[in-house]
Amino acid sequence: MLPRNRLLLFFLFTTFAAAQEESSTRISNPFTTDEDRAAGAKIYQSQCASCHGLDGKGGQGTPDFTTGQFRRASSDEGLFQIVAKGISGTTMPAFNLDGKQIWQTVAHLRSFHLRRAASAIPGDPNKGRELFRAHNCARCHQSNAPDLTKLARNRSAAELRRSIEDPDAEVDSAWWRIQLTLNSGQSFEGRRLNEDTHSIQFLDNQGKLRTAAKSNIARSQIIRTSPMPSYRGKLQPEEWNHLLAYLISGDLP
Amino acid sequence: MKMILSLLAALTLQAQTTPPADNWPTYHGSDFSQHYSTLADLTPANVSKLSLAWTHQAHSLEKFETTPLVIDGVMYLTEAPNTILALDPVSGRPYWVYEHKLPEVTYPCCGKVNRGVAYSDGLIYFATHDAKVLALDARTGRLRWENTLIDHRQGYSFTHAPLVVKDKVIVGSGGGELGIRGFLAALDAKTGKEIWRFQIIPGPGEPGNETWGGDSWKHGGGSIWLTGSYDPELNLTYWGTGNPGPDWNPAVRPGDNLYSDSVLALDPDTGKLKWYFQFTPHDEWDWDAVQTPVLVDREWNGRMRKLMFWASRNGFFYVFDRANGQFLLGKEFVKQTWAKGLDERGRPMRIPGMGPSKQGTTTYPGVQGGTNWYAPAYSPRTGLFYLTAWDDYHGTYFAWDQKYEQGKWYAGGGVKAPVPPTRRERIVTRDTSDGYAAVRALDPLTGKVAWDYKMQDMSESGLLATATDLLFSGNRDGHFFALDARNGKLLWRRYLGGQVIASPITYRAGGKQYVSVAAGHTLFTFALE
Repeated sequence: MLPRNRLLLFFLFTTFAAAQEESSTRISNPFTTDEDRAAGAKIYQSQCASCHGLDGKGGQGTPDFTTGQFRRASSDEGLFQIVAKGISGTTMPAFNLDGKQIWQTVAHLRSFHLRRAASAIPGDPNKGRELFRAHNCARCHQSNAPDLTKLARNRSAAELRRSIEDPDAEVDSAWWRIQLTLNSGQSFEGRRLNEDTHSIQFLDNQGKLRTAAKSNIARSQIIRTSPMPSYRGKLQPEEWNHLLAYLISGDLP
Repeated sequence: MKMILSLLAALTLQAQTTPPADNWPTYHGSDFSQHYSTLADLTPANVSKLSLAWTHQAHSLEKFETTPLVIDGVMYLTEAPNTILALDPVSGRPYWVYEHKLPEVTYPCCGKVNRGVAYSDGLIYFATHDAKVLALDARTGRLRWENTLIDHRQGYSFTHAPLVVKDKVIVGSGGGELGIRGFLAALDAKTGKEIWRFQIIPGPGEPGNETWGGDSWKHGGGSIWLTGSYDPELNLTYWGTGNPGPDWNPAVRPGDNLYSDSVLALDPDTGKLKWYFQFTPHDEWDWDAVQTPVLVDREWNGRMRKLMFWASRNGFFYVFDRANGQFLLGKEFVKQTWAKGLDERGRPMRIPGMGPSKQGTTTYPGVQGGTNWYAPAYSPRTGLFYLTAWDDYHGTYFAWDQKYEQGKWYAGGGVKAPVPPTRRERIVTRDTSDGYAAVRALDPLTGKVAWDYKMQDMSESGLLATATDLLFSGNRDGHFFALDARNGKLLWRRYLGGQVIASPITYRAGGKQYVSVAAGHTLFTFALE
């Protein structure tokens, strides 16, 4: 039996098309049972997965739903609006689904993250925090290295461990570094931030944001490896569990 | 008298196939769709002095895919979703705005875009997301007639600029991802009354229906979302058709799936099919043949022929005799891994196992193809065919079962790729190993690359060639630029800060030559100071 208040909420929502984001946080998804999620999964496969991937990890420049973080919405209601109305200026169309179907789809979107959270590993995050401090990780990761508060949530424990043991195994292009020498003879090294046909934007090792016109560059080299040292063999098995539990908690300094 | 008449006829013909000097009269610039202008004020010597004359900022934040027309001192421009404006092409000041009211839910697959209008004899023609064709008074923007061609709730949407051929307006429908059955319709230009309709997916009893297993023809796709071309001498109009549906689950539609992914040559008076050529029979990758039919009269093996040049999304460049559809040449112009080549009739010799699968199959080119709807250009001066190419570009194609439901997505699979299909990213750090774009000049007699202008990111920009050997284009980086059409050398560029996802045009007004292009959400117009 469907509780009456759910029906009422659903009715209120769809009738008044409660688009106002400000007041939206009070309306949460009324369709979140396992059956709803299963129905949502079916809708997702037929209507969403072409672009977003069956695994929810994105297809072609579309977001990774398994992080549980949504760039354009923070609430279930915000997600509802996006599915119902599409996103201007993108290829995301409005979907011809009824209100219940949209809520079920939202329930499925949320479940990508729930599944990941369920795969968390044993370990004491508090002890992990101590290790994080002891190894001085924050020195780089709070400044010019990947922000682990966001990054760790997007990775499994196995992926995180691989990156800590073998930092060069996977370096996202956003963290590639560049060495370049201008026609004038001046040389720079830094983190490559952006590039187009005519220029490169980078943060030099002195902390200055710079743009170099490619026509002024005599030679340049992209460094695709990581400056981070490997921690292979440097932690005990239980220490790995503590550290990884801490990183996955997202509760970083 | 007879001589004068034939001279007049020749002049009229000339006017239809190359743009009258000052105007940009049709979406593709002329009936032959060469995106070539005879205007010559701007030259390689002075183009470096090109500067901003005015801008027009759209109210819409949708992708700005419009290509304006300029007719006798008035510019006609569209904004997404379904707005039409008349502007002064010298100052950019609007004369009138017409906003077509759309229903709450419409069905364009990939953004609520529009690409432009058509003009003829004082009327502006426009096709809407709710499957209507409108005729507006060009002076006032007042609605003259309106005709609804189909129930848009079945997944139909009109996004392209209509084509006027003599006394008819020709329009087709998008919806290849929503299980439509595509068509092309011709309406009486004066009244809006439908004169003929060509079903792109043939029904039972019609030739071609046997290329669809079972009932699969009913939702077979075959959309139209780009304007065609016209040859007045042959009295044929040419249109490229979209993918078969569902896109990535070809198992449910055994056969060649005619006339998806084809060029159609139709009699514009009757809608009768004169000939067709299918680029990708039984397409498994969503490689619509929605490209510009570029018509060229040129010598081929020692005799003058009426040719058609076509760079297909499937990665091959083709030359046809457009009088009869004879396949003359086919050659790959980007990296592709799905065909060993083309046979003597132009049919691809498929490499097995390159179609979508449950676990994903990586194939070149990716879903946007070796090129797409971005207008190519042809210069009769250089004899080169110019296109926006996506090279070294792949996709991983997935297939799954999907049931048809009216008005819903019907793609039967999906694609993963490191390169976003149409969206500009403000930060791009990936390198060109996952794919890059180039303005690529092909020798159409051989299909060989004459020169390349490579870019860091992809490009969805069309091209514009001029009689002074300038070649204009833009890209996803946000640049708009002029190349030397003879060798690809960069002559001028401006950073506009938004992606160019339309074609540049050129026109003359108030004694000056202008160049206009939509980028981001703004139309930029340049001239010499």
